[in-house]
Amino acid sequence: MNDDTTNHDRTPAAIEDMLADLELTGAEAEGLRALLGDVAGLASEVPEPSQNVRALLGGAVPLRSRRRLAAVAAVAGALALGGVSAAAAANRLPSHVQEVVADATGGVVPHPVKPTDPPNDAPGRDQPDQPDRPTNAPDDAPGQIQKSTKPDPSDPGPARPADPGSHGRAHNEANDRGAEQFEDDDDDEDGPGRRANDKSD
Amino acid sequence: MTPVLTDEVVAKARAGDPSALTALYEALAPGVLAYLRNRGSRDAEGLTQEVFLQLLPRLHRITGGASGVRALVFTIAHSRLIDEFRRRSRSTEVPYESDLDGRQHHSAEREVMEQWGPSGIGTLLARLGDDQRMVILLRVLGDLSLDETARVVGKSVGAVKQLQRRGLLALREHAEGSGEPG
Repeated sequence: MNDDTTNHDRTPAAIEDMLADLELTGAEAEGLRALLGDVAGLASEVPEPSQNVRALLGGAVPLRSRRRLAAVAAVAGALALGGVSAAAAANRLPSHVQEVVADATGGVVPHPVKPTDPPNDAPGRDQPDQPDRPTNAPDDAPGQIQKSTKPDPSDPGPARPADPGSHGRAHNEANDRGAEQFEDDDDDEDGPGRRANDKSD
Repeated sequence: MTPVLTDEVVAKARAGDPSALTALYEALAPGVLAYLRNRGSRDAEGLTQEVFLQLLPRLHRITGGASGVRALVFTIAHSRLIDEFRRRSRSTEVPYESDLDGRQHHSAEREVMEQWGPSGIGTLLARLGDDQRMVILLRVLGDLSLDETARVVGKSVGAVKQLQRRGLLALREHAEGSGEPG
Protein backbone atom coordinates (compact mmCIF):
# COMPACT_ATOMS: atom_id res chain seq x y z
CA MET A 1 0.00 0.00 0.00
CA ASN A 2 1.08 3.53 -0.75
CA ASP A 3 1.46 5.57 2.42
CA ASP A 4 1.28 8.93 0.68
CA THR A 5 -2.34 8.31 -0.30
CA THR A 6 -3.63 6.97 3.00
CA ASN A 7 -3.63 7.94 6.62
CA HIS A 8 -3.14 5.09 9.08
CA ASP A 9 -3.95 7.11 12.20
CA ARG A 10 -7.61 6.18 12.32
CA THR A 11 -10.04 7.56 14.85
CA PRO A 12 -13.54 7.85 13.42
CA ALA A 13 -14.71 11.44 13.68
CA ALA A 14 -18.19 10.12 14.34
CA ILE A 15 -17.11 8.91 17.79
CA GLU A 16 -16.48 12.45 19.02
CA ASP A 17 -19.78 13.60 17.50
CA MET A 18 -21.61 10.83 19.30
CA LEU A 19 -20.00 11.66 22.62
CA ALA A 20 -20.76 15.35 22.16
CA ASP A 21 -24.42 14.54 21.50
CA LEU A 22 -24.62 12.70 24.83
CA GLU A 23 -23.08 15.63 26.68
CA LEU A 24 -21.03 13.33 28.87
CA THR A 25 -17.98 14.61 30.70
CA GLY A 26 -14.96 13.27 32.54
CA ALA A 27 -14.68 9.57 33.29
CA GLU A 28 -18.09 8.74 31.77
CA ALA A 29 -17.00 10.15 28.42
CA GLU A 30 -13.65 8.39 28.61
CA GLY A 31 -15.26 5.06 29.36
CA LEU A 32 -17.68 5.33 26.46
CA ARG A 33 -14.89 6.56 24.18
CA ALA A 34 -12.97 3.40 25.04
CA LEU A 35 -16.01 1.25 24.25
CA LEU A 36 -16.55 2.95 20.91
CA GLY A 37 -12.84 2.53 20.22
CA ASP A 38 -13.39 -1.20 20.72
CA VAL A 39 -16.28 -1.05 18.27
CA ALA A 40 -13.99 0.63 15.73
CA GLY A 41 -11.43 -2.09 16.44
CA LEU A 42 -13.88 -4.68 15.06
CA ALA A 43 -12.88 -3.45 11.61
CA SER A 44 -9.41 -4.88 11.78
CA GLU A 45 -9.66 -7.77 9.36
CA VAL A 46 -9.18 -7.12 5.66
CA PRO A 47 -11.14 -9.86 3.88
CA GLU A 48 -9.38 -11.69 1.09
CA PRO A 49 -10.78 -10.29 -2.16
CA SER A 50 -12.47 -12.81 -4.40
CA GLN A 51 -11.19 -13.42 -7.92
CA ASN A 52 -13.76 -11.09 -9.46
CA VAL A 53 -13.05 -8.31 -6.98
CA ARG A 54 -9.33 -8.78 -7.50
CA ALA A 55 -9.82 -8.33 -11.23
CA LEU A 56 -11.70 -5.09 -10.63
CA LEU A 57 -9.06 -3.85 -8.21
CA GLY A 58 -6.36 -4.54 -10.79
CA GLY A 59 -7.91 -2.04 -13.16
CA ALA A 60 -9.16 -4.75 -15.48
CA VAL A 61 -12.21 -4.28 -17.66
CA PRO A 62 -15.30 -4.34 -15.42
CA LEU A 63 -16.97 -7.71 -15.24
CA ARG A 64 -20.16 -6.57 -16.90
CA SER A 65 -18.26 -5.16 -19.87
CA ARG A 66 -16.28 -8.34 -20.28
CA ARG A 67 -19.48 -10.37 -20.34
CA ARG A 68 -20.94 -8.04 -22.94
CA LEU A 69 -17.85 -8.35 -25.15
CA ALA A 70 -17.94 -12.13 -24.85
CA ALA A 71 -21.63 -12.19 -25.81
CA VAL A 72 -21.05 -9.98 -28.87
CA ALA A 73 -18.12 -12.15 -29.96
CA ALA A 74 -20.20 -15.31 -29.55
CA VAL A 75 -23.05 -13.88 -31.65
CA ALA A 76 -20.66 -12.69 -34.37
CA GLY A 77 -18.98 -16.10 -34.45
CA ALA A 78 -22.29 -17.92 -34.69
CA LEU A 79 -23.44 -15.66 -37.55
CA ALA A 80 -20.18 -16.15 -39.45
CA LEU A 81 -20.33 -19.92 -38.98
CA GLY A 82 -23.95 -19.98 -40.13
CA GLY A 83 -23.10 -17.97 -43.24
CA VAL A 84 -20.26 -20.29 -44.20
CA SER A 85 -22.46 -23.33 -43.57
CA ALA A 86 -25.26 -21.97 -45.73
CA ALA A 87 -22.85 -21.08 -48.53
CA ALA A 88 -21.25 -24.52 -48.36
CA ALA A 89 -24.65 -26.22 -48.46
CA ALA A 90 -25.54 -24.24 -51.58
CA ASN A 91 -22.18 -25.10 -53.13
CA ARG A 92 -21.39 -21.44 -53.57
CA LEU A 93 -17.98 -21.40 -51.97
CA PRO A 94 -14.74 -21.52 -53.94
CA SER A 95 -13.73 -25.10 -54.58
CA HIS A 96 -10.79 -25.18 -52.20
CA VAL A 97 -12.90 -23.67 -49.40
CA GLN A 98 -15.66 -26.12 -50.19
CA GLU A 99 -13.20 -28.98 -49.78
CA VAL A 100 -12.06 -27.63 -46.45
CA VAL A 101 -15.66 -27.40 -45.25
CA ALA A 102 -16.38 -30.91 -46.53
CA ASP A 103 -13.34 -32.29 -44.71
CA ALA A 104 -14.35 -30.52 -41.52
CA THR A 105 -17.90 -31.76 -41.81
CA GLY A 106 -16.71 -35.30 -42.48
CA GLY A 107 -14.78 -35.20 -39.23
CA VAL A 108 -17.73 -33.94 -37.24
CA VAL A 109 -20.75 -35.76 -38.64
CA PRO A 110 -20.88 -39.28 -37.15
CA HIS A 111 -22.37 -40.96 -40.21
CA PRO A 112 -21.91 -40.46 -43.93
CA VAL A 113 -24.15 -37.77 -45.32
CA LYS A 114 -26.24 -38.84 -48.28
CA PRO A 115 -26.53 -36.20 -50.95
CA THR A 116 -30.02 -34.83 -51.27
CA ASP A 117 -31.94 -35.21 -54.51
CA PRO A 118 -31.82 -32.25 -56.80
CA PRO A 119 -35.19 -30.84 -57.81
CA ASN A 120 -37.04 -32.51 -60.65
CA ASP A 121 -36.35 -29.64 -63.00
CA ALA A 122 -32.69 -29.58 -62.16
CA PRO A 123 -30.43 -29.78 -65.18
CA GLY A 124 -29.16 -33.26 -65.82
CA ARG A 125 -32.19 -34.92 -64.27
CA ASP A 126 -32.83 -37.84 -66.56
CA GLN A 127 -35.58 -40.15 -65.42
CA PRO A 128 -34.96 -43.05 -67.78
CA ASP A 129 -31.43 -43.30 -66.41
CA GLN A 130 -32.77 -43.53 -62.88
CA PRO A 131 -34.90 -46.65 -62.62
CA ASP A 132 -34.86 -46.56 -58.82
CA ARG A 133 -36.60 -43.29 -58.57
CA PRO A 134 -37.05 -42.15 -54.98
CA THR A 135 -40.54 -42.14 -53.55
CA ASN A 136 -40.62 -38.40 -53.10
CA ALA A 137 -41.23 -37.84 -56.80
CA PRO A 138 -44.65 -36.43 -57.71
CA ASP A 139 -47.43 -38.94 -58.23
CA ASP A 140 -48.38 -37.60 -61.62
CA ALA A 141 -44.94 -38.16 -63.05
CA PRO A 142 -45.00 -40.48 -66.05
CA GLY A 143 -44.88 -44.07 -64.98
CA GLN A 144 -44.97 -43.23 -61.33
CA ILE A 145 -48.31 -44.68 -60.26
CA GLN A 146 -47.88 -48.11 -61.72
CA LYS A 147 -44.36 -48.43 -60.54
CA SER A 148 -44.89 -47.34 -56.98
CA THR A 149 -48.48 -48.35 -56.17
CA LYS A 150 -49.39 -51.31 -58.29
CA PRO A 151 -47.74 -54.42 -56.99
CA ASP A 152 -46.73 -57.35 -59.02
CA PRO A 153 -49.69 -59.81 -59.00
CA SER A 154 -47.28 -62.62 -58.29
CA ASP A 155 -46.13 -60.81 -55.17
CA PRO A 156 -48.46 -61.39 -52.20
CA GLY A 157 -47.34 -58.04 -50.75
CA PRO A 158 -47.31 -57.04 -47.15
CA ALA A 159 -49.38 -58.90 -44.63
CA ARG A 160 -52.81 -57.38 -44.17
CA PRO A 161 -55.12 -57.57 -41.19
CA ALA A 162 -57.63 -60.33 -41.27
CA ASP A 163 -60.48 -57.99 -40.29
CA PRO A 164 -61.01 -55.38 -42.98
CA GLY A 165 -62.56 -52.95 -40.52
CA SER A 166 -59.90 -53.29 -37.90
CA HIS A 167 -58.02 -50.42 -36.41
CA GLY A 168 -54.75 -51.38 -38.04
CA ARG A 169 -56.29 -51.28 -41.42
CA ALA A 170 -57.60 -47.80 -40.98
CA HIS A 171 -54.18 -46.61 -39.92
CA ASN A 172 -52.40 -48.35 -42.75
CA GLU A 173 -54.90 -47.26 -45.34
CA ALA A 174 -52.57 -44.90 -47.09
CA ASN A 175 -49.87 -47.53 -47.24
CA ASP A 176 -52.28 -50.08 -48.64
CA ARG A 177 -53.53 -47.80 -51.31
CA GLY A 178 -51.62 -49.61 -53.99
CA ALA A 179 -53.07 -52.96 -52.95
CA GLU A 180 -56.59 -51.52 -52.92
CA GLN A 181 -56.12 -50.27 -56.40
CA PHE A 182 -55.00 -53.69 -57.42
CA GLU A 183 -58.17 -55.25 -56.02
CA ASP A 184 -60.69 -52.60 -57.24
CA ASP A 185 -58.89 -51.26 -60.20
CA ASP A 186 -62.08 -50.42 -62.12
CA ASP A 187 -63.75 -48.49 -59.31
CA ASP A 188 -62.33 -45.10 -60.08
CA GLU A 189 -64.87 -42.91 -58.34
CA ASP A 190 -64.43 -44.25 -54.83
CA GLY A 191 -61.49 -43.09 -52.79
CA PRO A 192 -59.48 -45.46 -50.68
CA GLY A 193 -61.35 -44.49 -47.53
CA ARG A 194 -64.72 -45.12 -49.09
CA ARG A 195 -63.63 -48.50 -50.35
CA ALA A 196 -62.48 -49.46 -46.90
CA ASN A 197 -65.90 -48.61 -45.48
CA ASP A 198 -67.68 -50.53 -48.16
CA LYS A 199 -65.61 -53.56 -47.47
CA SER A 200 -66.21 -53.44 -43.77
CA ASP A 201 -69.95 -53.22 -44.37
CA MET B 1 -4.56 -0.51 11.66
CA THR B 2 -7.19 0.18 9.02
CA PRO B 3 -6.25 3.04 6.71
CA VAL B 4 -8.54 6.04 6.42
CA LEU B 5 -10.03 6.76 3.06
CA THR B 6 -9.13 10.20 1.75
CA ASP B 7 -10.50 12.27 -1.13
CA GLU B 8 -7.15 11.90 -2.86
CA VAL B 9 -7.34 8.10 -2.77
CA VAL B 10 -10.88 8.22 -4.12
CA ALA B 11 -9.86 10.56 -6.96
CA LYS B 12 -7.04 8.24 -7.97
CA ALA B 13 -9.26 5.17 -7.65
CA ARG B 14 -11.86 6.81 -9.89
CA ALA B 15 -9.12 7.28 -12.47
CA GLY B 16 -8.40 3.54 -12.29
CA ASP B 17 -5.14 3.67 -10.34
CA PRO B 18 -4.68 0.06 -9.11
CA SER B 19 -2.83 1.06 -5.93
CA ALA B 20 -5.57 3.55 -5.04
CA LEU B 21 -8.25 0.94 -5.75
CA THR B 22 -6.45 -1.45 -3.43
CA ALA B 23 -6.17 1.28 -0.78
CA LEU B 24 -9.87 1.98 -1.11
CA TYR B 25 -10.66 -1.69 -0.65
CA GLU B 26 -8.37 -1.97 2.37
CA ALA B 27 -9.93 1.11 3.93
CA LEU B 28 -13.56 0.10 3.45
CA ALA B 29 -13.73 -3.69 3.35
CA PRO B 30 -12.88 -4.29 7.05
CA GLY B 31 -15.68 -1.96 8.16
CA VAL B 32 -18.15 -3.54 5.78
CA LEU B 33 -17.20 -7.03 6.93
CA ALA B 34 -17.48 -6.07 10.60
CA TYR B 35 -20.83 -4.37 10.02
CA LEU B 36 -22.30 -7.39 8.24
CA ARG B 37 -20.85 -9.82 10.78
CA ASN B 38 -22.15 -7.93 13.82
CA ARG B 39 -25.55 -7.41 12.25
CA GLY B 40 -25.96 -11.17 11.96
CA SER B 41 -25.08 -12.03 8.38
CA ARG B 42 -24.43 -15.73 7.94
CA ASP B 43 -22.09 -15.13 5.01
CA ALA B 44 -20.48 -11.82 5.86
CA GLU B 45 -17.38 -12.44 3.74
CA GLY B 46 -19.33 -13.44 0.66
CA LEU B 47 -21.65 -10.50 1.08
CA THR B 48 -18.68 -8.15 1.42
CA GLN B 49 -17.38 -9.34 -1.93
CA GLU B 50 -20.80 -8.77 -3.49
CA VAL B 51 -20.80 -5.23 -2.11
CA PHE B 52 -17.49 -4.43 -3.81
CA LEU B 53 -18.54 -6.14 -7.02
CA GLN B 54 -21.43 -3.70 -7.06
CA LEU B 55 -19.40 -0.68 -5.97
CA LEU B 56 -16.22 -0.83 -8.03
CA PRO B 57 -17.71 -0.76 -11.55
CA ARG B 58 -19.69 2.39 -10.72
CA LEU B 59 -16.89 4.15 -8.86
CA HIS B 60 -16.24 6.63 -11.65
CA ARG B 61 -19.80 7.96 -11.33
CA ILE B 62 -19.71 8.58 -7.59
CA THR B 63 -19.58 12.16 -6.37
CA GLY B 64 -18.83 13.49 -2.90
CA GLY B 65 -15.29 12.23 -2.45
CA ALA B 66 -14.43 9.87 0.37
CA SER B 67 -17.58 10.50 2.39
CA GLY B 68 -19.70 9.87 -0.71
CA VAL B 69 -17.98 6.54 -1.32
CA ARG B 70 -18.29 5.56 2.35
CA ALA B 71 -21.99 6.37 2.36
CA LEU B 72 -22.57 4.42 -0.84
CA VAL B 73 -20.64 1.34 0.19
CA PHE B 74 -22.56 1.08 3.46
CA THR B 75 -25.84 1.74 1.66
CA ILE B 76 -25.07 -1.22 -0.60
CA ALA B 77 -24.00 -3.34 2.37
CA HIS B 78 -27.17 -2.49 4.27
CA SER B 79 -29.34 -3.36 1.26
CA ARG B 80 -27.59 -6.67 0.71
CA LEU B 81 -28.04 -7.53 4.37
CA ILE B 82 -31.76 -6.78 4.16
CA ASP B 83 -31.91 -9.04 1.10
CA GLU B 84 -30.24 -11.80 3.07
CA PHE B 85 -32.70 -11.38 5.95
CA ARG B 86 -35.63 -11.54 3.53
CA ARG B 87 -34.25 -14.65 1.86
CA ARG B 88 -33.84 -16.25 5.25
CA SER B 89 -37.34 -15.35 6.36
CA ARG B 90 -38.81 -16.82 3.17
CA SER B 91 -36.91 -20.07 3.66
CA THR B 92 -38.16 -20.63 7.21
CA GLU B 93 -41.85 -21.00 6.54
CA VAL B 94 -41.99 -24.47 8.07
CA PRO B 95 -42.49 -24.15 11.83
CA TYR B 96 -39.49 -25.35 13.75
CA GLU B 97 -39.96 -27.91 16.51
CA SER B 98 -36.84 -28.12 18.60
CA ASP B 99 -37.92 -31.36 20.24
CA LEU B 100 -37.77 -33.10 16.87
CA ASP B 101 -34.39 -31.68 15.92
CA GLY B 102 -31.53 -33.81 17.13
CA ARG B 103 -28.83 -31.47 15.85
CA GLN B 104 -26.84 -29.30 18.23
CA HIS B 105 -26.69 -25.68 17.07
CA HIS B 106 -25.56 -22.68 19.09
CA SER B 107 -27.67 -19.56 19.22
CA ALA B 108 -26.26 -16.37 17.70
CA GLU B 109 -25.85 -14.83 21.13
CA ARG B 110 -23.99 -17.87 22.41
CA GLU B 111 -21.68 -17.81 19.39
CA VAL B 112 -20.89 -14.15 20.06
CA MET B 113 -20.31 -14.89 23.73
CA GLU B 114 -17.90 -17.69 22.84
CA GLN B 115 -16.06 -15.42 20.44
CA TRP B 116 -15.82 -12.32 22.58
CA GLY B 117 -16.35 -13.54 26.11
CA PRO B 118 -19.11 -12.26 28.40
CA SER B 119 -17.67 -8.72 28.50
CA GLY B 120 -16.33 -8.52 24.93
CA ILE B 121 -17.51 -5.69 22.71
CA GLY B 122 -19.27 -8.10 20.36
CA THR B 123 -21.29 -9.48 23.25
CA LEU B 124 -22.17 -6.01 24.48
CA LEU B 125 -23.32 -4.99 21.01
CA ALA B 126 -25.36 -8.17 20.67
CA ARG B 127 -27.33 -7.14 23.75
CA LEU B 128 -28.48 -3.89 22.12
CA GLY B 129 -31.66 -3.57 20.17
CA ASP B 130 -31.20 -4.31 16.48
CA ASP B 131 -31.81 -0.73 15.34
CA GLN B 132 -29.58 0.69 18.08
CA ARG B 133 -26.78 -1.66 17.09
CA MET B 134 -27.29 -0.82 13.42
CA VAL B 135 -26.94 2.92 14.04
CA ILE B 136 -23.89 2.64 16.28
CA LEU B 137 -22.14 0.28 13.85
CA LEU B 138 -22.84 2.50 10.86
CA ARG B 139 -21.65 5.61 12.66
CA VAL B 140 -18.47 4.05 14.03
CA LEU B 141 -17.48 1.46 11.42
CA GLY B 142 -18.62 3.54 8.48
CA ASP B 143 -17.61 6.85 10.04
CA LEU B 144 -20.90 8.21 8.74
CA SER B 145 -22.57 11.39 9.86
CA LEU B 146 -26.09 11.45 11.29
CA ASP B 147 -27.45 12.58 7.91
CA GLU B 148 -25.63 9.83 6.02
CA THR B 149 -26.72 7.20 8.53
CA ALA B 150 -30.32 8.36 8.27
CA ARG B 151 -30.18 8.05 4.48
CA VAL B 152 -28.65 4.56 4.66
CA VAL B 153 -31.28 3.16 7.02
CA GLY B 154 -34.19 5.15 5.60
CA LYS B 155 -35.11 6.90 8.83
CA SER B 156 -35.27 10.53 9.87
CA VAL B 157 -32.24 12.21 11.41
CA GLY B 158 -34.17 12.67 14.65
CA ALA B 159 -35.01 8.98 14.84
CA VAL B 160 -31.41 8.04 14.20
CA LYS B 161 -30.24 10.46 16.87
CA GLN B 162 -32.62 8.90 19.39
CA LEU B 163 -31.52 5.37 18.50
CA GLN B 164 -27.91 6.42 18.86
CA ARG B 165 -28.47 8.03 22.25
CA ARG B 166 -30.37 5.05 23.65
CA GLY B 167 -27.88 2.64 22.17
CA LEU B 168 -24.90 4.42 23.71
CA LEU B 169 -26.53 4.57 27.12
CA ALA B 170 -27.46 0.89 26.92
CA LEU B 171 -23.95 0.02 25.82
CA ARG B 172 -22.50 1.84 28.83
CA GLU B 173 -25.02 0.19 31.13
CA HIS B 174 -24.20 -3.31 29.85
CA ALA B 175 -20.49 -2.57 30.13
CA GLU B 176 -20.87 -1.44 33.74
CA GLY B 177 -22.88 -4.56 34.48
CA SER B 178 -20.22 -6.79 33.01
CA GLY B 179 -17.25 -4.98 34.55
CA GLU B 180 -16.19 -3.19 31.37
CA PRO B 181 -15.14 0.47 31.64
CA GLY B 182 -17.86 2.94 30.80
